[in-house]
Amino acid sequence: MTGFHWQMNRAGLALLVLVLGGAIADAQSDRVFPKEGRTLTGAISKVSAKGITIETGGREVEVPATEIKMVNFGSESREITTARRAISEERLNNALQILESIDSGQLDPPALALDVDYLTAYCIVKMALSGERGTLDQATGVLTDFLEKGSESYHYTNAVELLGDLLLARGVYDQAEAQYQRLVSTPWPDVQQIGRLKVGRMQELQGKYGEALKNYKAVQQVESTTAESRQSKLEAQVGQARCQAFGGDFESGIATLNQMIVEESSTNGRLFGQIYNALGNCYVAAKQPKQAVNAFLHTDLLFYQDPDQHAEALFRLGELFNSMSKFEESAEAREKLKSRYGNSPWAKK
Amino acid sequence: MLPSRKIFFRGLCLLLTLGFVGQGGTPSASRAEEPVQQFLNELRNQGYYEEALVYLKDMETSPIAPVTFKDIVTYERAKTLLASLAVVRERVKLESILDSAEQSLDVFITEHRTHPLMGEATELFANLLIKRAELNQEQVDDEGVAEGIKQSLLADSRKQLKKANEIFGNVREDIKQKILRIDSKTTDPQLKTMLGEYRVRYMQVRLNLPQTTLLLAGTYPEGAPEREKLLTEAVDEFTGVRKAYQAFQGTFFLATLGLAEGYAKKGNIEDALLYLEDIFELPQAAELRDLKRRAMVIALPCWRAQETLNYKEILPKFEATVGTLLPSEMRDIAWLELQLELAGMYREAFEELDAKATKSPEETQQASLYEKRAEELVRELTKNNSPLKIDAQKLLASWGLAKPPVESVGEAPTNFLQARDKGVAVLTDYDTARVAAETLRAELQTTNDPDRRAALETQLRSTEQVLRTAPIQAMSYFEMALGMTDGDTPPDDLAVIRRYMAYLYYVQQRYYSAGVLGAFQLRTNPGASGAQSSASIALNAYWSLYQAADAENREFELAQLQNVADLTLKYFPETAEAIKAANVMSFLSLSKKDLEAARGYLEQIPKSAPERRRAELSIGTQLWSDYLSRKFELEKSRRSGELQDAAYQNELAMLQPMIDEARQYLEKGVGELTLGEMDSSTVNAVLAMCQLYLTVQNAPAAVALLERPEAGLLALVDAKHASVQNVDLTSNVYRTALRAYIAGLVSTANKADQVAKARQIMQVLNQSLGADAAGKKRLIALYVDLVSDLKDQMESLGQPAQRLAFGEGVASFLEEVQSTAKDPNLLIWSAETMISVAETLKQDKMNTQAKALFTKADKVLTTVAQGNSESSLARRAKVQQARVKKNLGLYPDAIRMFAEILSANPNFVSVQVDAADTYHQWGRAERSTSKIASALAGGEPFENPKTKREENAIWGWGKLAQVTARDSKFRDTFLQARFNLAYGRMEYALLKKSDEQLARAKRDILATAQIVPDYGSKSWKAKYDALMKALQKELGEPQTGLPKS
Repeated sequence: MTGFHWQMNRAGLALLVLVLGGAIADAQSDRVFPKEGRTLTGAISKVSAKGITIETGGREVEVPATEIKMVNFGSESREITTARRAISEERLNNALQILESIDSGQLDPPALALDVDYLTAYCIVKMALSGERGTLDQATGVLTDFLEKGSESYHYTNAVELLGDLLLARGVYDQAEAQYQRLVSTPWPDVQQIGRLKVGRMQELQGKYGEALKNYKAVQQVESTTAESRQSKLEAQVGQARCQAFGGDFESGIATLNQMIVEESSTNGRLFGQIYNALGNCYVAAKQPKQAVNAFLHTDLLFYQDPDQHAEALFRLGELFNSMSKFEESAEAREKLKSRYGNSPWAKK
Repeated sequence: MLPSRKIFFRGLCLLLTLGFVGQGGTPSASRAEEPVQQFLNELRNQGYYEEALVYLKDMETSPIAPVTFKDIVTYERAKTLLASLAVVRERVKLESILDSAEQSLDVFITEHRTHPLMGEATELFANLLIKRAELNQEQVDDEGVAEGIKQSLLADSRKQLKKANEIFGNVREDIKQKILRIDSKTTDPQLKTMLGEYRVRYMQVRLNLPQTTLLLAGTYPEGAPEREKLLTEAVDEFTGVRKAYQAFQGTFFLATLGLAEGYAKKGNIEDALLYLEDIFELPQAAELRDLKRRAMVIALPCWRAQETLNYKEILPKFEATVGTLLPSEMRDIAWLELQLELAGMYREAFEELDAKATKSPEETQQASLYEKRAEELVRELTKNNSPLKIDAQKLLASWGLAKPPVESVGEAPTNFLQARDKGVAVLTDYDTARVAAETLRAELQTTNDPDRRAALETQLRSTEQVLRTAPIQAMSYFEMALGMTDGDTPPDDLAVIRRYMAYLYYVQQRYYSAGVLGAFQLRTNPGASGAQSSASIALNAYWSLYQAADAENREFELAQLQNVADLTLKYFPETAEAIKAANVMSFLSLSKKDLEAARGYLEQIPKSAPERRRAELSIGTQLWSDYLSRKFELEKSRRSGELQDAAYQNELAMLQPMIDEARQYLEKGVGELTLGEMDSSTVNAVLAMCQLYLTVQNAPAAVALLERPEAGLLALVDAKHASVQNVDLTSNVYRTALRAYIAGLVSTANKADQVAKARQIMQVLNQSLGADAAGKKRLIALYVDLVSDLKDQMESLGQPAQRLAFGEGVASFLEEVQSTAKDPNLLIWSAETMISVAETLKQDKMNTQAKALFTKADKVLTTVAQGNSESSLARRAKVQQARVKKNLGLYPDAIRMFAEILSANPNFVSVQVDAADTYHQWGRAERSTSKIASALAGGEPFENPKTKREENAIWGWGKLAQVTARDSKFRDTFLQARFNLAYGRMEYALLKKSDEQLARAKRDILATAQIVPDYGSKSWKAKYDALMKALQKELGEPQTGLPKS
């Protein structure tokens, strides 16, 4: 379940900029905002899963999907802009209300229609995942529909990843693995790296530690120094430690994780949540419940930023405290899990 | 009680740092034009002592510091350290700072004997001595300090003050000579400057002298002639200074202050207040604030000593002095204490007016103003980290003003800061309520007035309600705040929230959570404000978990404690938290038997910290326990034959350093323990010391420790003190006391007294333990152990003559017991002890003395055996009698008695061993083959009433070996029986000249190994091997010993 954040970072951030950009966009021109470099204003001539081509200054420029920060269609209505703003502010319910009132079939160009379909699916999936609205099955249906018709959307890769996240949340790890495997097949190294990381995690959850280890190692071998890539490598390192421990070598796993705690900055809350959860799981496997409680409490009290990690920590704490006859603490952890992450698979276990 | 003693030291600082004394500045300050010196002075003046010390350290090696400054870095360091004392409250820290200052001064004085600042350095040293004297006097006022220690502290204080006075006297003469050497009308600018500086210093020293005399007077009790004499001297000297320096206002008013203090101490309150009035009337100026504050410290007890307090007159003066504090004063305990006192006085004034049956409108208004101001001042002191926070909270509670928590209704916080502040406000109220509850409960215990009780109970109920709800409420605000954080939230703000949450978790006994948060703060942000508190919370949390955990499963708690303690010691050395951490870890290291680690932690507890003594005692106790364990192992090896006597003695001597070290840790502390310090841990320490004294043959010292009044072990047992409620501990105290009294008989001049004391212990033991079957069993076990103790002690004496003297001492006590005791258990014990002593004497070839004791023991045993119908007692007596007969060589009697016992109880294996051995010794003594044959095959046939068959009452070695072969608990007896079987057969064969018997003896040996592989132990194997070689020799075979396995 490591995908939520990444998804928010890429898709959510792009939406935020899209909203801001939309407010100032020329009503007649399309605009593509690359992650780096100047804004390209002109007419979008081609949109595909690989990226967007825009005619600007008398020449055609291709922008790969992974490098698109945001796109603003010249024909875009104010409602769409408002919906985008609501999404950027995480008011998904409001956004969805607007988006559902738009008949995307009437929109032109078709790329804009696909954009609206994606935004709609995005809201539905996210709200289902958080338990705010709808079921995971319904969300899967909407997203699958989008993927069927949206093979030419520049959001296609994001949608594949979202589907993986949904399947993971439903506990069908092999199907989630298949979706993430599609990320590995993309032409972009950064996406491949994320894909491998997620594939590794799915394999791990299915007990295929050897295969998972191979993927985690591959993640670490990617020659990239971007912040995202470094984060992936660190998370792969955590995964490796987990595999070591679950493969029976608790000591190595625990040692690796403790070493990471010493070496890495604890301001990286998401990573530390993963490290401490992994550490807690290692200690559970090593039958050291007190140490496990100590580790999961770090996630609960200090590194709770990632909802999935926090939910897992609370679930484990509920179980561990119960086994230690600390029933009050156990009940508190369960209560917190249900009240904060009611729709999380951890709350349903 | 306001710390008037602190006035002097602070006064010196004032005079040194403020310019209003005269032209101002010390010679060094005026000479040092460099920015380095100026910057340092400024740091000190602003109270940035830590920064000043860091700066000084940098300047030691910095190229920007002038060489002349580098020369005086140690002097400046000492000066800075001494100035920093003003903001320190913890005594341990104060002493540590004084130690550091003294070290720096020592270095300066040693290395710069001719430096122009030498005089100032000497004066600084005198100031340091005065501060030490003040600390000693403060300790005298502490609760629970033994009278002897008080006197010793006062004596130290006097010595330090006299030395300081001597220094000031010398400095005064020195400066005087320097002044006289310069022409007072000189026009040389340099000489003029020097003259001015000398005059300033001369004034300072003239003030110092009577002030030290005042302090010296304080070391004598009120009414003592020395005190009166010193006070008069001080008053006279201050009067002289006032007269001489009327034109120098600073000196004049400081002398006025001293004069007032002198009068106050003499009981002349009116004069004291008259002089102080001069100071209160001075204008309000920042430079005069400290002078006025000090005047207030002297004035307050004077006012309170008067019949009535004129609040209308006093409060405005008090308010003007301490009502509003400058920022630098807000950190200063001396100022804060006065402010709290001011609040108290406002409250008194309010209560006085409020109690009036009829009040004028002005009085009602005045009362309301007083009440409001009192609360205002105290509430301010409960905020933040005021050092007087607890005192302020208590005061508030005593006025019934513990505020209820912030209402949860109202607007919910909308951002991080609002949520944080609401949480902090609730937490402050919780804290106040906590102190209030304690105060109210304490008052309820001592209040009988029903109305007052009812009021207190109502207040308590409301306070307890706050205690229940506030933590939950505060926690919800903090969680809300955390939910409102983002990347821009300052880490320090987060740290504050987490510290408070850790505290709340601790309060709610969520120790895992408290530990995680506290330790995280300590580990990741030790420099943040409050990190020390976080460390303390984490340590306490893990300590609580440790105590609650199973003794077998504490690795986690131990690891966490060690982690927190080590970090606390690293980041906050010498603080109360660090001392606690070191103390806890020292204790835990001992429980893991890791003495090295315990010593390491002990070294991190300052020598002056009270915790140090306790830690030392624990280490000493553990060392002693380790010594006893090692000694026990050695004895076991000796008994089994694994260690020969010489090797045993050698190994034992190697344990001597353990005794010495245990003594070093224990000896100093045990004699100073007060009643309040006694618990099971300190009782064990005293017991260890007593046993150690007995081991080194110093019974009088052990007796002295046992008999200490109040905190002595016998006094504790007598008073049924909580520390000795454990029966094992009480038994151990009695056993050690008995041992000490008996052992002391060797050297004491008053044997009768010592015997009487021992008898008394035995009587108490009988009364306390002899009431039921379990108690009786315990009593017998105690006496058996005591025999073993005495035997060990006797055998540990180096010379036979010493052993004889010890034995005779023991015997004389036993005879006394035997002559008066009627309890058969006691009589048998006395005989057993006597036999044990006699056996040792017999080994020393002191046959006459041994025989006399055997005979006496026999007589006692005969009486018990005849006079007791209880079969077990008679049997126990007869067994010992038979042993006596054997020792006396009366073999037929011994055999007859053994046979009598064994025919009724044939399965008494230990008695069967004694009986077979009796036959064996008899055979050897008479070179009788028939007796040796009986030793091997048994004797004394009788008809067993159960089997109706004739069998031998005494089994002999052969049957003993058969019977014990299958039972592992008799493994040693089996090996002993088989060995003696073979040995006896060899002796028989030699007397009979029978090779066949020799060969059979060899087979006996070899067959043994088939039952017990490799003969069970090295020592038995060695014995069997030697016997095999002896047999081979007799048979004319090669002496190859046992076959190689």
